[in-house]
Amino acid sequence: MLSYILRRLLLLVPTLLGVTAVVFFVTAASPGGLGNIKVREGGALNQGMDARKQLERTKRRYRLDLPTYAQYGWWLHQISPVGFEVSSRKAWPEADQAAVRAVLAGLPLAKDALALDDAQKAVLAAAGYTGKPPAEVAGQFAAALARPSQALPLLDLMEVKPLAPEDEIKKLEAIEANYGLGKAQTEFIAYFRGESDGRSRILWDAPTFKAPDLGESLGSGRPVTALVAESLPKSILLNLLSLPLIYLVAIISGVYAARRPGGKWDVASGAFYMALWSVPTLVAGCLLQTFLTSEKYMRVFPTAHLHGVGAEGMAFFPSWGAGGFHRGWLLDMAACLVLPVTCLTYQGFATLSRIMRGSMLEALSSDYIRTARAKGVAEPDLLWRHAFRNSTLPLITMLSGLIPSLIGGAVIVEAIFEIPGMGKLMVDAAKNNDPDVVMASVLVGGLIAMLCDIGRDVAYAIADPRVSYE
Amino acid sequence: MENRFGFKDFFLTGLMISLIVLIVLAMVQFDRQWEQVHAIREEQKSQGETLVELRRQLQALSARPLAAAADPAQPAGASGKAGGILAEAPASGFDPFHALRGIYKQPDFAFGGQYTGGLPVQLKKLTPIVPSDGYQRLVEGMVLEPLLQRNADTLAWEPYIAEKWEVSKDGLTITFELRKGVTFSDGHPLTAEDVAYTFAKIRDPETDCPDYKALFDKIVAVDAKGPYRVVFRFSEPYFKSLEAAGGMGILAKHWYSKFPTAEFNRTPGLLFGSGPMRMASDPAAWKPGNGVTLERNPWYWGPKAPLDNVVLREYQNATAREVDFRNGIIDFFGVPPEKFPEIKAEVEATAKGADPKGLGKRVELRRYTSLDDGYAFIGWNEQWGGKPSPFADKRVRQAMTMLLDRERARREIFNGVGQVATGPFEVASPQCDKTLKPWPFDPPRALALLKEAGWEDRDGNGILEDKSGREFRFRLSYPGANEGVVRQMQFFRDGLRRSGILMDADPLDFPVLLGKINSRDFQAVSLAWGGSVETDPRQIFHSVSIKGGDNNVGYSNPKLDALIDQARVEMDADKRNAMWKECHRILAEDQPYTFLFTREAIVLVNKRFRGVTDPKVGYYNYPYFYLPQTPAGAR
Repeated sequence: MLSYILRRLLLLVPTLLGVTAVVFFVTAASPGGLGNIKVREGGALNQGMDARKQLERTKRRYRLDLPTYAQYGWWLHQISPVGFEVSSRKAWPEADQAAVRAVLAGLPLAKDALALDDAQKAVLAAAGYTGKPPAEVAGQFAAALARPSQALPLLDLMEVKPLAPEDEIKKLEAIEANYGLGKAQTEFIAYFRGESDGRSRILWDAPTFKAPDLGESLGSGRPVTALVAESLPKSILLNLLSLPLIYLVAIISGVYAARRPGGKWDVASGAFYMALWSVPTLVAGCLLQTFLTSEKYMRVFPTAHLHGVGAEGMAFFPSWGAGGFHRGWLLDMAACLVLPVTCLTYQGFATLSRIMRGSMLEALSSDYIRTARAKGVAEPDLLWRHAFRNSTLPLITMLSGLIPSLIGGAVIVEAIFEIPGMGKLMVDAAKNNDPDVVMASVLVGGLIAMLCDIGRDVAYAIADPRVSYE
Repeated sequence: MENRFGFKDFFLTGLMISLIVLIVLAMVQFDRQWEQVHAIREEQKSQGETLVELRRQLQALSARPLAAAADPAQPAGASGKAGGILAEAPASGFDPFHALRGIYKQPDFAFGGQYTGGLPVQLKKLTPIVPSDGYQRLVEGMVLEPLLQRNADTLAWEPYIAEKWEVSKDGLTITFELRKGVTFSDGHPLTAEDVAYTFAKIRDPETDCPDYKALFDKIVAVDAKGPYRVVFRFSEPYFKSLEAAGGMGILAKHWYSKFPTAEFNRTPGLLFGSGPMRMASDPAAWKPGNGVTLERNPWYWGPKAPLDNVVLREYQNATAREVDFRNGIIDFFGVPPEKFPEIKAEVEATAKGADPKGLGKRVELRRYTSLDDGYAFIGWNEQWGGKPSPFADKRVRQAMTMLLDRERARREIFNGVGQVATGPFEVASPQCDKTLKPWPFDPPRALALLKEAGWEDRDGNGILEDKSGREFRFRLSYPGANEGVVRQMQFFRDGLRRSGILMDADPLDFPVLLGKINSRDFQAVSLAWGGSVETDPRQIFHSVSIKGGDNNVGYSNPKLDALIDQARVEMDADKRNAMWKECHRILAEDQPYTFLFTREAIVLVNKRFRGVTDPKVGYYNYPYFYLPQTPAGAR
């Protein structure tokens, strides 16, 4: 068993690799390509912030100007737990740093300790990127910085072609004339670091262990790990509430439907669930929201969100205090969850209860049930202890398909009820071509789906002693 | 397999029950602590306010001998009533809070209450400087304060945190004298160090703020000379330098230096300043997805804000936002143009008494133009695939403008919201030449111009051709997400077809469209630019911006270039505005864009609020709304 699980876990890696590669290259080939982020909400561009220059810089920062295969390589390197050192994060030996500092100390900018620090970082970044010795690069910088306005060719070291360098030259000349060499050098270093931000190379030395990193969202600049950590719990909460509910209702009604096939309960529940199943979630969500949350019709539940206004200041439990009844955080959230959970569950009843009914029927017509009945086993015991246990396999199969689809597929419900869960994260990322978030959600979604698969196979073996993987 | 409830089962059940009871008890205990913490916080707030008041009185005491000597008529002693000394204007000097003091004097004025707003987006970040969506500014404006602010009526700069300022003759240096006694929302004083720190943070290459770096590009150094004097040095004279230096919200050095740059870039909620409101909970612990709650800053250095709390909730689902507005959960609703007639009819029905329980009973319909609303336009690309396009000819562009019935589109598609634009400047801005009229809708004159430019119907099929027989056909790209824009483009397409021009509508996803614009891979494009009180047209219309900037249509006019270059360095506002008006005329004549519409905001505000004044720039000043003492009308 253990070796089987291990084998399956190892197989996860190439499968995920394939999935991510397909998604990455398809996204890159889609119109708009990777990372053509929205500059501003609402379709309006902003005056005073040069959108084009900004986009070029953002592209360099997130390596979107590299060829697609190279970007995929970077991404793999980023998420891999084993990796190489990256030139922009290289830990330089003390001797190299001292050498750079010695060369730069002679420059007028060295009067300002912060500027000297920035200059040293710029030189080391360039040395790492080009692979030249730091002292040599420092010399190059020192020579070029004698006339900062003429020093723009230094950007060639980082293979950066700035848009409209004339503006920068003009500005540096003005600073040279008005404020002297020191300030102009400081300015140039800031410009250099800004333009070459994100440029780095992988140093192919000995690989080491590192923390896997899901990257950064282009739109908000926040780590993807944090975004997933904020969204996933909300999706899991919705699942934890709706899955047991689906199963409870479907199992009970399925079992009782199987007891008298063709009976009143069987026909009625079947028709009712089928009717529910044929209502699209979008329609149901909008109808529920319109009729059950609006003062115009009936205001029973909160309109949207997971918490009401002022929930963060509430006590946890409901209480009767000075101002009458306070619903408290828990009850407030429960009220908010009723409609979304309803929308997530009602369609699941139909399929599951039918499947339950089918496998129960099969079990009930088998020999051992007849024997048990003849032996005089009580009816509830017969149903639940004997027949039910033998018909759970299809339920397990369904579960492994339901979980992943509920986590990513709750987009509509999340959008209607303003719950920022995984589905919304994925769709927003795809819409904005935010590569790291798209890839992370594929990775998380794929991982959950495949773990569910493994879990299902293991559960088979537990539920049915006939299944064995030895 | 006989099942009996044995000792083991009994033990386990008991254990489970006692565990659950214990957990519940722990939660009850936690609730009690929670209440205690609340009480302590409330007490702390009132102590903060008392301290600020004491500090004020001390300052007034130390200033009195001087004031008394200068003005013997000045009465001594201050009343201890609500607001006390805070409610009174300073004896001398400019008072940045004159508007608020007017509100204080209203007979029904009262402190307290909460405003709840609904945002159409999810706030992704509140940390200032680092990029986020526009609504971050709305929150920021209540928490951070700049050195100067614009007068609400004249739009001239007025002292705020800075008491006075001086711009050197060459425009390269600006010196600010800061007001004494300004504090951040933890009681820490705001000094010149904080101002210098704010700009150092922006200039730090590791801070992730590409757009702010571009805005403050010309600042060479910001030096604190003493605790209350800051000197800004600029690389070149520029007319927006004062705005750049004086309009930036000041960050607290003692608070922000707790966070290393990498953490500053990544943490979403780091919003802390000297404004009338502050975050109600620890800013470092704020997470996106639940909106934001602000509370009155108990340490505020000016007169305190009327409202206790400002809560902003997020509604990306427009239906949910409207339902919650109708339920009275949120107090504010921005009406999209397509819903305007319906809502207007509903509000007016109540006014006439037809529907006494309707929307109009509770809300007030307001429409206003803000100076940063910007304008929508169609840009005519003068280069198609590196070769001059038909739009390279000024006459063709003028004709295109005259073929588009913008007034009718405004009336019938946008329900009369907004105005037909004449140029890139806001109508209320001093840069705008208000005498200019928009080009008329005049197809005969347009066809005559086109004929002059070589486009006429040569083979009688109803479509214009040039000399070589090529049909006049172009593709207009636009964001396809907005229904109004889509309908407008269909309307324009039909209008052009009637005059013999074939327009292919090309609705695109915004990121795709942006990519096409940046690679100049479009024939004509419809978009919108955001605006501000004073804008710099260089980024969009100067010929240097064809290669490096946002002059996407490849428009170039040497006369305009020279004028822009000249106006940007002119520090005298009157001379400069005369030049901008000339630019406006040139752009209206050349029509590099067909300027479509200026925007207009239509909002519904809950009637229970008083002191609501439409903003000239930006957003409403929510903390300065107030709830009257005896609530009139429905609450």
